[in-house]
Amino acid sequence: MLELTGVCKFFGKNEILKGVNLKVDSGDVVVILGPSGSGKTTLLRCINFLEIADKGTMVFGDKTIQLRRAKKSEVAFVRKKTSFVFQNYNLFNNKTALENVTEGLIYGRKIPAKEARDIGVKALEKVGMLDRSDFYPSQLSGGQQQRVGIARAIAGNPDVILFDEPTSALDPELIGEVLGIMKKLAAKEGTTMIVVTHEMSFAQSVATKVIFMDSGVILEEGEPREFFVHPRHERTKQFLRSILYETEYNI
Amino acid sequence: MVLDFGFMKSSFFLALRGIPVTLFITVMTLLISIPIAFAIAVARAGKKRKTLNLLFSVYVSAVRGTPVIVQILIIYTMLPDLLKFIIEKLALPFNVYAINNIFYAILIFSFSMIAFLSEVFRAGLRAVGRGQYEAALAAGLSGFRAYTRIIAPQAFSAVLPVLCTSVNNLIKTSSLCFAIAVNEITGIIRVAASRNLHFVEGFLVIAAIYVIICMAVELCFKILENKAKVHRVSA
Repeated sequence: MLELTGVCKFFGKNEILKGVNLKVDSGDVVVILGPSGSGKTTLLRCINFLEIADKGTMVFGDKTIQLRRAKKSEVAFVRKKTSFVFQNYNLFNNKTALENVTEGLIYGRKIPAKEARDIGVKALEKVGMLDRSDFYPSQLSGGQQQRVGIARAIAGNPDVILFDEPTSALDPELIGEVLGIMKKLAAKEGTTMIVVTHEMSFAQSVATKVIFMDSGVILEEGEPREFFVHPRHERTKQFLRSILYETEYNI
Repeated sequence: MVLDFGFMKSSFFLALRGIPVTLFITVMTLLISIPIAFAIAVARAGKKRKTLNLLFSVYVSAVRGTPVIVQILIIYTMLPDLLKFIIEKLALPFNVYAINNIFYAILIFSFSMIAFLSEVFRAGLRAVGRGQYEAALAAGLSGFRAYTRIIAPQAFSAVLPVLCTSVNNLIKTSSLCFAIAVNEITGIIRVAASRNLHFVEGFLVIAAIYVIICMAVELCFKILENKAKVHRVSA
């Protein structure tokens, strides 16, 4: 459904992505792991043109798009077929929870306001935020804001949702509610997702495919069981050790 | 010293006739300068705008670095001749000297307000941050919609207190129009007081009138701020 080939991205002289290939099929939950600075987030942002890649092609459905010279219509097409959940939620602060969901439907997808409202209500219900639909983001907790962020992402019925470290900015206590919703989306709705995260438990239990990135390349990819039990690459082993067993240190 | 209360009363009513002129200059200046200043602020917020940024920072420094009265005198002595030259070249059926001085005043104040407000809006846009703009794009909004629906309303409410100060400053600065014989509040009273030399009474009256107008403006902005408060993230 979505295939990226040879994605390169420079920030100044730093090469952040060095020719990344990625294939996502419908119903996949692809989890991208890797140390910070490895290019995970940049890769995700290149998919919906929040960053413009310097090289690479994207095949989305039956369209082939050159990432560097994407036309306006192609950018609009991809943005319509995808949605993005941000690390810092990035809710519209001047809009209520419901308006946050309907804004993109009305002004991005040209859906009539009334219909958009119905879709918005359903989306908020799915993330358990219907009782907060008239609240402004400033009146919501981080976890609640991110749930609205997810409602905004699912409302447009995208082919794939891109999650950029959706729980990294949350208090530990609030991580569960957000991960729970993501699990539900994957299991019940079969939503296709690409998730950049540090939540190993989510990767282990929900992912259909795990990708490990380091310094701008994909070092290793595979099914979660294979990946976590028999990592092939030394760098992957080192990374998994440091993340999975960090609590075992005795000082 | 004894104040001539009779004259104060009559000059008060005389000065009231200047209020519409003062307000007209203020409102027209704002209508011209707010959209332009906002557009400049948006343009400067984009990446890779080195030449544009340099150009505008020179403009802003030039405006900031000169007294408004000097700007008035320069433009008022220069512009009519310039216009006349252009009109004669193009042989337009138009008399430069028929232009009301009010329009020169509006032009001059817009010139400095654009410089000032573009800096204010730049700060406002920065306060909103890039994240919501990206979220709007990701949700399918066009860049224009993202600004009009999401970014601009928040940028405006963030700068409301500063905007209030600048509107009040503009109202007070408009008094300098007496230098080019515009019949606004100050100009009217200056002429009236020079007839019987009761300057103190006249100036006290207009001081009071400016205070009242500016308080009314402040009140309007307080109401606006309260309306906008709900949007703002509580710190």
